[in-house]
Amino acid sequence: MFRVRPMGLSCAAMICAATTAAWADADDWPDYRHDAHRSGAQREASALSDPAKVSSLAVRWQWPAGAAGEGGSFYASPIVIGGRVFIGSNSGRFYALDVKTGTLLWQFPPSAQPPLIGSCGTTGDVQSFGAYGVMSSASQHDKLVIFGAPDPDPSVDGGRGSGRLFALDQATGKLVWKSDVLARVNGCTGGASFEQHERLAYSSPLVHDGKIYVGVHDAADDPIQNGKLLAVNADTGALISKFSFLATSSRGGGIWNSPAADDDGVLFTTGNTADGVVTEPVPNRGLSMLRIDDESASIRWQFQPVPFALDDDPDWAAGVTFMSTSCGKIAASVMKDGWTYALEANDGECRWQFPATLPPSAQCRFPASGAHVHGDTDYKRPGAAWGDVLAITTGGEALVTSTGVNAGYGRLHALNACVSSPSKRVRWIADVPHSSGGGYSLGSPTVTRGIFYIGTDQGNVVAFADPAVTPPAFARCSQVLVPLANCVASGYSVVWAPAVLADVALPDHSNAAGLRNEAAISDGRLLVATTGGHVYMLAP
Amino acid sequence: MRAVIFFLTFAMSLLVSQLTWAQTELRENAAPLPEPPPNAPSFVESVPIVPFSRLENQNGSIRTVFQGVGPGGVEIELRDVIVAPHASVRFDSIKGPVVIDTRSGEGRMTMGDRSATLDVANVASMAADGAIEVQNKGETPLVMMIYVVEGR
Repeated sequence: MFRVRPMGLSCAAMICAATTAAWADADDWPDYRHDAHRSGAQREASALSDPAKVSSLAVRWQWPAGAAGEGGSFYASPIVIGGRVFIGSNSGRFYALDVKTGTLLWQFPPSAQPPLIGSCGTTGDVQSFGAYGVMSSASQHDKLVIFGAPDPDPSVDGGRGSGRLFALDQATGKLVWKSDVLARVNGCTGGASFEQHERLAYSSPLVHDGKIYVGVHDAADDPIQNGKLLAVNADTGALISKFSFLATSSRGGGIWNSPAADDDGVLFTTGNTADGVVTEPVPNRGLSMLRIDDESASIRWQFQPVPFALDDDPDWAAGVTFMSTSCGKIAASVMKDGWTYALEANDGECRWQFPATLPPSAQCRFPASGAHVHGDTDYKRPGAAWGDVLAITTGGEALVTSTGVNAGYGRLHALNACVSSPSKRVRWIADVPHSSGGGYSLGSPTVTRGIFYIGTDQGNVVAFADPAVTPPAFARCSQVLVPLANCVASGYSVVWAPAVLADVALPDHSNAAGLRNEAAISDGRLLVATTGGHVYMLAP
Repeated sequence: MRAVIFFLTFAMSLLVSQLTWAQTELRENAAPLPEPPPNAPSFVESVPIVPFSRLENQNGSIRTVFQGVGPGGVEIELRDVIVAPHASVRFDSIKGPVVIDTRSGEGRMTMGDRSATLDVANVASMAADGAIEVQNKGETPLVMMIYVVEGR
């Protein structure tokens, strides 16, 4: 098959860019994290990128209208295409709403048909093997909207909830295709290593080069499954058998996130392999960021900062944010233990680690004899890219102290991706009001022209302005446990606290329902969805 | 002729789209911010339960996160210590063994004529009975957890 590999701004790339621009509405938010780079960024100007207007941000509609909600919880994030909002619920239904009014346009499956809930587990249980509903954020391909979910069809593994991709017509909600089974659930016995408990829950499909890629992971490590990245034909859903990435030869390395792509392959991260496994699998692609070939699935590079000996379940759950910066292409992500990494996207070489814990000679890889605990902590939200800035919930410089593992949960760090000095890495730190103090305190940030939006577990949506857009309010130490007065003397930097432009309590705020997903930014409208089962549209 | 016009139109539209794209990229390349001036108001919204305090007249910070009495009446302390890049700090009159778990960075601990390397790959210990000097040999803060057992 003839393929074009663009180099820089080749003619092929330009044609591709031009044709894509002609078909797509630039104001849309057509994929999870907006695009295949998983940038989390809306570049089109709107009222949401105007700091003078953002202060009037308010809820303009909610769906459903009552306090009761949809019946489930929204863990998936909304996408917006051509005036429609698309989102699935863990109730097993997928919805299309009018973006201007919140009117329900259609739902899938229709009310008369059973929801996308398998029989393995309690309906809507996010940890169930096959009853988790639609937690996969949708993606766009031509006139289709595509997401992963368990299939209740009794002819497939007894209806336990084996996972497929579903492709629906955007206009009508009719099923156009469902993929071959990609995640198998062939038994419901907890801990049973003789059964498969695979899921398509947290991975949003990636549409790239005529194929759709999606990651497979387990349910609550009960037990861990072999991580897989699979691809199907974008027009038929047929599994492309020659493309198959397996994380290990046995089990582990689940893909809990949504793959990203650029012109030269697919990027993603993998979960741990040591849970219940004494001997390191060979090969071990777990706890890694990888780039693989988008045709053959051959590995271009693998970066594994935490060795098997230190694997205490710090799954790499946040996906890759692909950044096109003034200093080149960077693949960035935070590991569940709280450390953030920025790699050269082309070869996987580590540019920097945050916090900068290891000497340069270690190349961001922890020594197997190290005393650090890399545990099951909850830094698992991807970052948002705005030029050279990565905004992300990360452990921060307090992470390396004895009590610092929780220090980053309720904070958003903006990191300068291109500076060479570790002391200049932190650009600003925002404390975001939240409840739990744990890893579900905040959703994933999104950004439009320097204004960052994030949802909280209190059911609030908060807007921050980068100090380059709006003057900041305060100075603070980059190490949040060190007072400003002795910040510099201790080797840290004085950084900014950004201005808060808006802090909107959603009606679900009173139901203690929060946001675990991202705010989609489209044409001056902010679309969010809560664990209370409501979708909201906010606008200035 | 029609083909030539089509090609020129197509080429122009490509050029315009690429220029627009390039301008968008440029606009969003946010450069590093100027450092806050010394008189900038201090952010005080969240105060740590156990904040660090400055090691007196030295380039570092310290806090005690645990104090207790162990077997035989020995006093056990767990301290977090930060030493600025390329700086040295000195702890006077530590009576008893110390264990240093380096959490970040690299350096060296010295007591009299004895010394030990500090890095994240190793836990260092020393039967201290006097002043200890810790030197940061890296470009980033050296962060340690120091276990002090006094009275043995």
